[in-house]
Amino acid sequence: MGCGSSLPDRGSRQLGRPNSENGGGQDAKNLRVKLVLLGDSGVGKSCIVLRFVRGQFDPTSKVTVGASFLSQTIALQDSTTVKFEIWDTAGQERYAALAPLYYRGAAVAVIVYDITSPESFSKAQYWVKELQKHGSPDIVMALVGNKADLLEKREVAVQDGTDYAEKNGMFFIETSAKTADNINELFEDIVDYATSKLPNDVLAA
Amino acid sequence: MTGNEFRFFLSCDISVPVTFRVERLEGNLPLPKSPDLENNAPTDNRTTELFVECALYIDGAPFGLPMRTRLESLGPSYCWNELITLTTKYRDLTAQSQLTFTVWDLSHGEGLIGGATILLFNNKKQLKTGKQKLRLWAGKEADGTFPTSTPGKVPRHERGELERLEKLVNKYERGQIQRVDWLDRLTFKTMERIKERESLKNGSSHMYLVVDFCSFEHRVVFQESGANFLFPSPIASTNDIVVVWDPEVGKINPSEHKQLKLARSLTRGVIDRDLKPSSNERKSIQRILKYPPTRTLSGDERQLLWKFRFSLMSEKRALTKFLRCVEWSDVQEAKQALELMGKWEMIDVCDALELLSPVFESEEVRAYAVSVLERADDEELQCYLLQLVQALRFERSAKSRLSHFLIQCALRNIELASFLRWYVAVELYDPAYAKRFYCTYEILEENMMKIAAGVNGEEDGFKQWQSLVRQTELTAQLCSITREVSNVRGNTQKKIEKLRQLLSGLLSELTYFDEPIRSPLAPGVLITGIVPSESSIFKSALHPLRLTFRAANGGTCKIIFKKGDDIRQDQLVVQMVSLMDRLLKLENLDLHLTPYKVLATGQDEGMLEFIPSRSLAQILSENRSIISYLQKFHPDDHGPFGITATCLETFIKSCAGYSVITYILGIGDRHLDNLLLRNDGGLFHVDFGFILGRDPKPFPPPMKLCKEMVEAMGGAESQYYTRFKSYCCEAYHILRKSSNLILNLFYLMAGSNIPDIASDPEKGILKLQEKFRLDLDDEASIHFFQDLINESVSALFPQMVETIHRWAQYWR
Repeated sequence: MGCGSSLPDRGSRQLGRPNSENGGGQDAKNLRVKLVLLGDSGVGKSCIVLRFVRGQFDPTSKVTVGASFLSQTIALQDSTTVKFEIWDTAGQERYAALAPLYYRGAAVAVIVYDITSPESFSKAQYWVKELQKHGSPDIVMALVGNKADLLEKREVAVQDGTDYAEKNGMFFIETSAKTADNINELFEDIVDYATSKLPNDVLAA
Repeated sequence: MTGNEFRFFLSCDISVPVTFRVERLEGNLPLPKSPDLENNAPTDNRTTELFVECALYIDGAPFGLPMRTRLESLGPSYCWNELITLTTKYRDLTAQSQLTFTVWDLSHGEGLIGGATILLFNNKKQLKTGKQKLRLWAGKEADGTFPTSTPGKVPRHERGELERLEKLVNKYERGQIQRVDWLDRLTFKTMERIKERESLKNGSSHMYLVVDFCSFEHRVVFQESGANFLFPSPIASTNDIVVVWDPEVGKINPSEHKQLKLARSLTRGVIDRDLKPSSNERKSIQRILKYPPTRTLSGDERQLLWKFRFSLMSEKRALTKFLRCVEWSDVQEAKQALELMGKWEMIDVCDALELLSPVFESEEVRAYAVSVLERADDEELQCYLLQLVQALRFERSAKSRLSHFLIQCALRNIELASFLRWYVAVELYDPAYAKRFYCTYEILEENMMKIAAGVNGEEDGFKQWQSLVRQTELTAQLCSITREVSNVRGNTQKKIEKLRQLLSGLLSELTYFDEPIRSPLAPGVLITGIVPSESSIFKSALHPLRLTFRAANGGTCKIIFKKGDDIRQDQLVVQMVSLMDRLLKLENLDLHLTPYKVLATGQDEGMLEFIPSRSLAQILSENRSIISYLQKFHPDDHGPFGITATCLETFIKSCAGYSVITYILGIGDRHLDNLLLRNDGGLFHVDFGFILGRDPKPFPPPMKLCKEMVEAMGGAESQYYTRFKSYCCEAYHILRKSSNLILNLFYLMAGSNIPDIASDPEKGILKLQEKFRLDLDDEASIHFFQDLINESVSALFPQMVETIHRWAQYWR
């Protein structure tokens, strides 16, 4: 299924229970992060999740109805394990009312747009404002420009994304679910950004 | 704005003066025939001074004062570019209004250059706008009579390329032709060349006056001021019937309105208090009180109930009917009605449900209905919870008494909280009411979080809410699984292997939950994980999952999860089966129904309880008959047909129960695959994609009975079949007594998006009502139902009557 699929990066992934034998070292931290993806329909939210969790890309990805839930655990270099509980929401306008159901109580929000679509960038800005109004006050937000492999069709400049993210206290990254560029980096950066910004107990919300 | 839309102004609505601009004169002036030429006068020094006189003619007569432009002496391109405002307003124009333009020369004696006339409205009665190029009649004054002798319009047979281009330029300037910069420049350049060529060809034969008419935001259509829309129909002199339209149809009758006011005035409150109905009036009132809730009351009926409202206060059933008689827009009347409502004999829960329907908009009435519901216990409320959530649509605001009540019930009962949360969450898919339902969801969450831990070891509210949220996570993960297994190419066995592989691998966390989750279908049961080895996939188009969950109490529960099907309709039908089962049991009649649990978790997904059973299609393909199948489980040499009497009784009763229920609800698309049989002999129906009389198969019989069921009872002549009919009639009688409750519940579902209700809410309810035969008395209704059974069953055996024969084809 799907072209351009590659094996998931096993080195950064650890399934099963965390190893509690530290040989006298400090206790390993176990974090659970509720993460929600928001953005316009068709920008590739579901493909990002599929690439991260399964290492697959589905070019025929169907429209998400309601929301989709998957979880994935990654291990960081300092023995910390992070379990992402990922809510992938429907981007279509008629499901907009369902979004609060999923982003309430979320510790991290990933707002996705398509670099070939200025309209999706505007929609991403709408979601940022929505979260600033109604989301958790201490929510961590990431701005993601997806479909970075389509450079020849780019319509949203990197600088635009960087500037907007900086202005709104978010971090910014461009990804390609198709080529797997920056997908794992996205989730690792989320943890780095979050741990530097917030105490650990807040993340487990 | 769509292409079909045409916006316009009416000319009678425009109260501004008629305005236009006189631009310029084109063409060459005629040479004067002056004898001074012979005197060697210098021709170069001769100058002309021109002005244009404009006048408005309405229906051929001059209207207002003529207006003149200034003198223009800079030739030969005489250009006034002057705005002319007449004293007449647009609203005073008629369809035959004309403007006349006469060009005069003051530089010498005679002075008349030429004139032209133009109609202000075209033949479509639209006001002309934009540039108008009028050809002048040389040596003639413009003629304002209708029709004119000096039309400015070029005759059709003389029109050429120039006229065509002029028309297109007008369209372009009105915005009717799309503007394309590069193409416009090329086009206008070409047009200039064409004009030069044409002017050389024609020489100096004609003069033209260019004027520009005022433009408006939309087209202006002629409409006479004070038009009489009620044209009297011509009355023929023949003997034909003359139909005269009554202009007052649909309007309020002042006499009727006055009479109503007098009848209901406050002073009558003193007199009406002691009024008692006569025997005839009492009969009428009793008949009215028997009306189903879908029936509207006529004017006389409303008057009758209002008149005797005081004596009716002791009759609790009358309250819903009385409240329908009230003119709620009348403040005094509404106030009086609310006072009486507070003193009325306490109504039943069934009537309270009726007061929550969209018919009753008064907040006080709806709050009163909620106060009645507060007396019901949780078990009864759960029977109606689905409809009560739908009733939130009809409230005036999101924070209603009903909303508050539902949340309070949920806070004291975690099972109600679970169902309330799901019923509300599914409604978020409806854009029209999503905000309202989300508000309810939010309030529920906020209040739930505040609950402190109970003294009996109950969890605090925060943990309980988290447990409910994990239900949503579980269903979302099951959706992902369904998507994965659907993509597996190959047969069902390969999909099952994929399912078990996922549960043992990537999704192994589903086999052991971190914390127990309340089963969405039965929130009182805590489930701790899926058993992969006992999970499977059904062989059907949507690949529903059959999952076995381990329960915290040591047992298991089996659930079917479906994605891609809207099971809200199944949810409603099964709820009705459950309710009817309850109603029958309250009358000591247990028909061994199987109200398995169904929960819609989204618009196209949901959970169903799995009941171990076999379809009749399977049974009959592997056994000779239903009886030979049951003999394997409950053999009894001394029992009827070789099975135990208990087993046969269960079969007969369940057949009777479902026959009545499927008849009342109009369940369609019955076949041997959606009739299932449990080992204890209980038969039950599944798959309710067609209800309220809808059926994809032609000629559906009224009673969904198949031959195999009747044969299992020993045939249509046996004592067991007679017992079956007896159970049917008894069940029909009991449910008929609760017809109001059932109708009220369906009426509350009118606003939902359940397909077979949403397609025609009113007709659906009426079909349901028709099934109860409320026009018959109890005895007549029993006879009706017996005849119905007989007709349906005789269709299954050899008969020559065509219609009945077609019913038999239904099962093939």
